[in-house]
Amino acid sequence: MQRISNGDSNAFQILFDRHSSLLLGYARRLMGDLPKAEDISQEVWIKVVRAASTYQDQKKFSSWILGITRNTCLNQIRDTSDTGVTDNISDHEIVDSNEDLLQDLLKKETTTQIQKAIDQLPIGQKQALLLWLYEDLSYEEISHQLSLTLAAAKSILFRAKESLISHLRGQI
Amino acid sequence: MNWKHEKPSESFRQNTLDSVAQEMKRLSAINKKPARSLRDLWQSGGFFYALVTTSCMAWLAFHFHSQSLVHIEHSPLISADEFVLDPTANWILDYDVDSIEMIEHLEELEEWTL
Repeated sequence: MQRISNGDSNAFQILFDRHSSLLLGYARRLMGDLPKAEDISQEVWIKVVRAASTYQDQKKFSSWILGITRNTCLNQIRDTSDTGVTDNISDHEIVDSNEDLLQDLLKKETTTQIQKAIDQLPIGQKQALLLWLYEDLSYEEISHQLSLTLAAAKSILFRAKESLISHLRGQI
Repeated sequence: MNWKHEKPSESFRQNTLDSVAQEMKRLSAINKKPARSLRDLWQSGGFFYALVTTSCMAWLAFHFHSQSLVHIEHSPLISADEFVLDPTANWILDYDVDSIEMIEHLEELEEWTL
């Protein structure tokens, strides 16, 4: 990052080749289609170059860049439509018993099938699910990112996993 | 490559690299902005301020230098007795007057005492 902040384009190319597929994948799952995801990705890379001098080594680079991608996507979604995230969800405790099943299905299915299944989720569930899958955020962190109560975040994520499982099973 | 990844197309890759290279050039140009030319300085009024500041500094330097010369070179010539003999000379030493005027008065005082 130091080299990039000094204007070294070769260093940037190395970084790009190493992380662009993850970044583009995340943007694609969140935005739904590839052209939008490419626009977002390009915007993110420009932001990375601008912020290179302020990057702190303590934070894992992939987490840092996924955080930028997520915020850029959410801003884009917020600007164009309602996020669909509602807070009127019951405060009952969610028992997350389907996590292993979901991880198993994600390993077995093709990328296209997973993309199709994710695209069918409401935007709020999609956001919560991708925060959990890509960035390994805790429920508390997800609730903070989406401005929800902890119970609401748990509920949304639970529903997202349930929906994804049923969509993936339906495609088999 | 697992489902989380999406392989970028070659055109997207090249397009992004070009955009970023341009952005890097732009940032580099901002960071390495050349020093302002004399013409820019003149146009922005900086030259005027520089001239005024230099003039003030020169005047102050001359003023204090002259005063110190007066004290060093002429003060020893005025003894306490001489000073008492000419009470009108009192203001010359007590008040902050123009140094040249002060020298003239001191010269007169010397002639008078001799």
